[in-house]
Amino acid sequence: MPQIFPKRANTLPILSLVGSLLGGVALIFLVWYYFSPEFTTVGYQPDQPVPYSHQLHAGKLGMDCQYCHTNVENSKHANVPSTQTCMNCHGQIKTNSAKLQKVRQSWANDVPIQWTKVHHLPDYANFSHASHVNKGVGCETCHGRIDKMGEEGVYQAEPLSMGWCLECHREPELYLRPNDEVTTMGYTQPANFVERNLDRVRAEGIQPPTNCSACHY
Amino acid sequence: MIELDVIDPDESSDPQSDTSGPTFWRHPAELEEEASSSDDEDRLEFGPGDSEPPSGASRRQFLQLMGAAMAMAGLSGCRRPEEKILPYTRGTDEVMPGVPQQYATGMPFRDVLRPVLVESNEGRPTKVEGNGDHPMGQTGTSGFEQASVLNLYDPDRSRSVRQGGTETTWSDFVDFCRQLDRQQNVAVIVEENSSPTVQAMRQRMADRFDNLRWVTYSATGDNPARLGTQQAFGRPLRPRYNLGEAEVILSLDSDVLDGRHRDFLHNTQSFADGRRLEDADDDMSRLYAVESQFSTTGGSADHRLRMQARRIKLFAAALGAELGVGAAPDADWSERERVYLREIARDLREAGSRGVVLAGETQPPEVHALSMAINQQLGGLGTTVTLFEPDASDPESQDESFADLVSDMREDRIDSLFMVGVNPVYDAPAELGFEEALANVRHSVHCGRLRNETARASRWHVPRTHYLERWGDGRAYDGTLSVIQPLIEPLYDDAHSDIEVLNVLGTGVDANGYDLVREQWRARLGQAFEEQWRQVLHDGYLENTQFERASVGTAQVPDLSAPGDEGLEVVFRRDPTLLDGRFSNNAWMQELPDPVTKIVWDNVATVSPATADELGLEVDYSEGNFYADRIELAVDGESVELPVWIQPGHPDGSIGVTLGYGRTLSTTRDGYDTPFWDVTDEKDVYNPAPIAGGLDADGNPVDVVGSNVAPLRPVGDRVATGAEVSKVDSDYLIRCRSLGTGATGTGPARRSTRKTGTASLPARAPTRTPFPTFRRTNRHRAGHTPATERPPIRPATRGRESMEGERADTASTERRTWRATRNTRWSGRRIIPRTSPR
Amino acid sequence: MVWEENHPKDQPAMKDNPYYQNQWGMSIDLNTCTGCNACVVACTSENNVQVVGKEEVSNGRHMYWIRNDRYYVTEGDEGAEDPEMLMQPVMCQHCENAPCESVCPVAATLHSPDGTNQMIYNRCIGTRYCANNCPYKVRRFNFFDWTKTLPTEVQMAQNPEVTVRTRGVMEKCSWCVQRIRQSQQQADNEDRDLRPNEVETACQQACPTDAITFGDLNNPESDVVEEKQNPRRYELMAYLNTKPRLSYLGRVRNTNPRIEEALSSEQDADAVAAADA
Repeated sequence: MPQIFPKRANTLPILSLVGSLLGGVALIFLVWYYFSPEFTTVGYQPDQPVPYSHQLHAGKLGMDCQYCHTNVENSKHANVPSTQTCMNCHGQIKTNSAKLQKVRQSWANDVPIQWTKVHHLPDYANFSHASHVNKGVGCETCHGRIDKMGEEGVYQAEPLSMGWCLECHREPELYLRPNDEVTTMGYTQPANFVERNLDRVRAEGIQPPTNCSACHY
Repeated sequence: MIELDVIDPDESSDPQSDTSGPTFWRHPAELEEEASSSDDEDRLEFGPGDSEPPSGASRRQFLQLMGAAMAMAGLSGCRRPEEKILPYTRGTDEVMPGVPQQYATGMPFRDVLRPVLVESNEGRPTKVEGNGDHPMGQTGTSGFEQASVLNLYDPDRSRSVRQGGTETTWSDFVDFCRQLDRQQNVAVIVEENSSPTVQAMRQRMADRFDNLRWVTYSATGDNPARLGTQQAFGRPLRPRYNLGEAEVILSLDSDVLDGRHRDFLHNTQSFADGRRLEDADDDMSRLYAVESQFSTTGGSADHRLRMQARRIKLFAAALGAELGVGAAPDADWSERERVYLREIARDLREAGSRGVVLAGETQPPEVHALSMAINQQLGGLGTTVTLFEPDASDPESQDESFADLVSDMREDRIDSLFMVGVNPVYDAPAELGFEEALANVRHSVHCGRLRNETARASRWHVPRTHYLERWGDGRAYDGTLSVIQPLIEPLYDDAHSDIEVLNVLGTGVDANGYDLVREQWRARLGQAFEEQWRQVLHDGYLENTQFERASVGTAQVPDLSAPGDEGLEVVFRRDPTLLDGRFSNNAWMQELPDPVTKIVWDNVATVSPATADELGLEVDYSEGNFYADRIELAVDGESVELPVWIQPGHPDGSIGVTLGYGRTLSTTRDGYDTPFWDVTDEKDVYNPAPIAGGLDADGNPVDVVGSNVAPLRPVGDRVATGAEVSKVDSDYLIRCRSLGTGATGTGPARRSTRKTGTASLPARAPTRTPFPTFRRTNRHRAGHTPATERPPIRPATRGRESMEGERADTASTERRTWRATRNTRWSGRRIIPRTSPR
Repeated sequence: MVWEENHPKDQPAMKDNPYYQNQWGMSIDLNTCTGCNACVVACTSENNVQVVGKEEVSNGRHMYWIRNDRYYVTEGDEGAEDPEMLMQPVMCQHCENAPCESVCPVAATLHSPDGTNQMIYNRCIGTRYCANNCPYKVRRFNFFDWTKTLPTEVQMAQNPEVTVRTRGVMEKCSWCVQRIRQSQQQADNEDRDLRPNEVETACQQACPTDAITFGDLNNPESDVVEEKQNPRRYELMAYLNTKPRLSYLGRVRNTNPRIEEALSSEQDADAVAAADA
């Protein structure tokens, strides 16, 4: 019988096997990497109606987080401040700045400014700011260095996925800080912080829940 | 944790063959044991085919097809949705986003106010609770308060003022009111309400118009309790029943435990106080119910007698005669009825001041007067019955004044008619001919929450605010004054409250409800107004404003006339879920099953099995659903088509019907259609018409729920006689949610009977289900075995050993007794009672 | 027994949990329950339970999490003419040995450390095996997306603290877990324990007769602990060994023995007469 395939076709099966193996592994790796929350959500920096710079206000001017985000200790939302909070200062400071046009309009017309949500948790996950802030989880731990985020807007610094949350929930002693340092940006943990946190966890009975219905209900 | 032995299948009795002991069943078909082949089908939660995935790609199919794409699940996260955050412009101190607040207000319900606390999330009310601080005293509510929040958010509410059907503005209406001539014959029909501010507005209107007629209207006419106390004591009084103090309660068709009753909260709470058993030695009241329908009161009763509504009147008279009040009527009683009559009278006599007789709204005022007389004779006035002296209200009959008004309207003697919160075109009895008479009125104005039947028949329609968005006031059943405060700005700019509309009519000034109420309360509160005002708003009531207790002379015993006509009687009631139509467009209430029939989304003509047999009517049960015959019910020339429902325990010769159905509402919402593969348009309850029923573009009714029986009701009465029934159709699907737990015979609900002085139990074969049977003694009854001779319910010592001994003594080998061990902390050890082994 | 070995409740993950300190239980007193249905509407209002309409109810797909079962009761051979009636509110029994938990292929329904059976909507894939297994038939499945077309005004009535379920997920009574978590977090933030009777479920709060009692079984001052000691207590279908946390107090009637005697002798007389005839 005449040979249909040339001799070099003998390499084809091995090549395709190896290729599909490598390809499969590559595909799995690519999916694992590019579809992980670390890739898809970290760095999300949407446009905001007003070019508000945290770097200026919280960084350079040193305003505390809780000056504007007032309900973070009492409520599940860390509320975005009302226009009135902005006008507390900007009623007198930079009253003609073009960047503040929308704020003044909102104040004058009694229409809220439509901020775009950056840190978006799905509806089926219930998160309470109050529980975390009262236990010593710093703003920076989840939101990153807000004081370095300028006029381009806040970007999401952490994936905020369930796995990421569980890292801390399973080992809170690695992430907690004293309550009066919660709003400090660029906080460095002291040398024996794990030990101190372990003491605190034991003393205060801090037990971050890891069962499903703690957040999903 | 309960430690139970697993039942050995060989030892246990087969529930199907076990016939002794009480039987628990959900509908008559279950009682027939021959239907064994279809048994399994009946027990299914879903009919055949119902648990198939709905049409359209099901989740399973989708996943199968897209199996390869599972890895791409994360793709949906690529284009993330942009969500906006809208903060306040001017922050408030109290409102913290994420933390709900509660405000005290009151829900107007018939002619009382029910105190409520409403939870508000960021400025919108979402949940209603009872106001525990209020003198009515509890956090509980009826279903109506809970559902009222959905009435606020009803998408079919009217949104704009209309004149002759076309939209216009509120200021046009104000202009119209201003130019009304003071010489005109003006009539106002308002709903029953307890608001002093409305009375003040009435005064303003009376000041402006020389010929003002003011009629209070309710869908079922007069309150027979009011007229009854008037007959008995010469003035209308308000009775409150302290059922917790009573040992013997007789309910004459009164349905006192139902949410439709004005004093429901107090009734049901005090009744529960009298029934709660914490120990074996606690006392319990005894409730007798003589009724013309199967109500929840009858369900809670210890003894229930079913009787036609018109005969209950005679029963009351006979009972009164036994107790020495009035003369015995001329009537035939069956053996059973005679036994009841005798024993109830005996029980009441023994109970004395701890007995109470209540009459219901289907009974004429004479029965109410008679029951007051009986209560007085027993000595219950002051203990089990408290009589309140309500605010000066019209002693005259609503029915009469309304009938007079309608005849004047027909004869062109009314120039302007204002209807606030009422719907007479829908629910006035047909013999009055309200709709025709309305056409004669030059200026007719309807103010209501929905654009209903009356709104369409009137020249002007003004949208009305819901109680959650308006200021007002009112009195609770016991007279305590409260302010109604809004939890949200009116959803529609043109919507106004009743006091605002009445004020514009009375003064021509377009004032805010807030100002009107404050004005009235300023006069009432006097000193330190602002502080007291805030206190009233905070608490939800004003202290010490209860009605005075009335002191009364001897009750006049009325003459109960001869029995009514023969033939079928029809008894008209407000619906237990829709009331008189106020909750017709409320999806929750439509889907809430009727407490006894468990029917949803429909109204029925309830008949007893014997009457159904006689009339040749059937209700079939197949595959989990009921298919009923439809009948044409005719009373005095008016007829309506209804499905029939066979109700065990319903009296023979009586047909029960409920109001609130057969509505047609106009709405500004449009229906929509989706392509054939998308069933959304079929499954959306808000599409194409309002929930209760609506009109299509040509004015034909579409999607109407149930049938309107209100026109058949005779004026001045709740009971019609001489009804005619003819079957017109069959196999009408009734949606009945009677599905219980598990199969027939497993009767998971348990009840047992407390008996007097039985020292030993009759020998019983194994019960159908392992029920404990309690035999108790009741100390207060004469002729019982004294304590020393009674056998102990439980041996003096606890522990299993004595149980064994006790069990061997009894005649019944199957009896079980529960015991409680000391409660221990839950740390893996049991805190729940052990049961004894079989 | 097999199912008790390595039971999740004995695992350290459960016991180390702060929620483990509270063990929730409920008791319903059938003597005081009159069947008024306030609890049903309250639950619907609190938990964003949707309405399905006439047709779907006839298909058995109604969504109400709590229902009031109505039983007629007749003794012996009495016919359907004069039954008694008994009402029983039934919702998820939160069984300790729940038949629904063991059959979920994706572990969307689990036992929480505080003793309730929890339903995790985002994990559910809609096999409905749990509803199949539930002997009390309290699990409701979203056959359609009832919320997609809700008018805006009706959306305002929804409770923001409760997840709105979409098509294909199972839902059931959660003992108002949002209220439980809210109170637990509040107490935690304030560094205190939960007060006895602090958490009230919607049905309990609405019940005008206080027939429903809910609370922490671990707190001896809770009302529910006292209710569970009542000798009338029983659990629904307890022989299935589901060990429900919800118990009922059986109804006791206070009948008049004279009437019973008179009526039974009348019945006997009738029977004799019928036999003679």
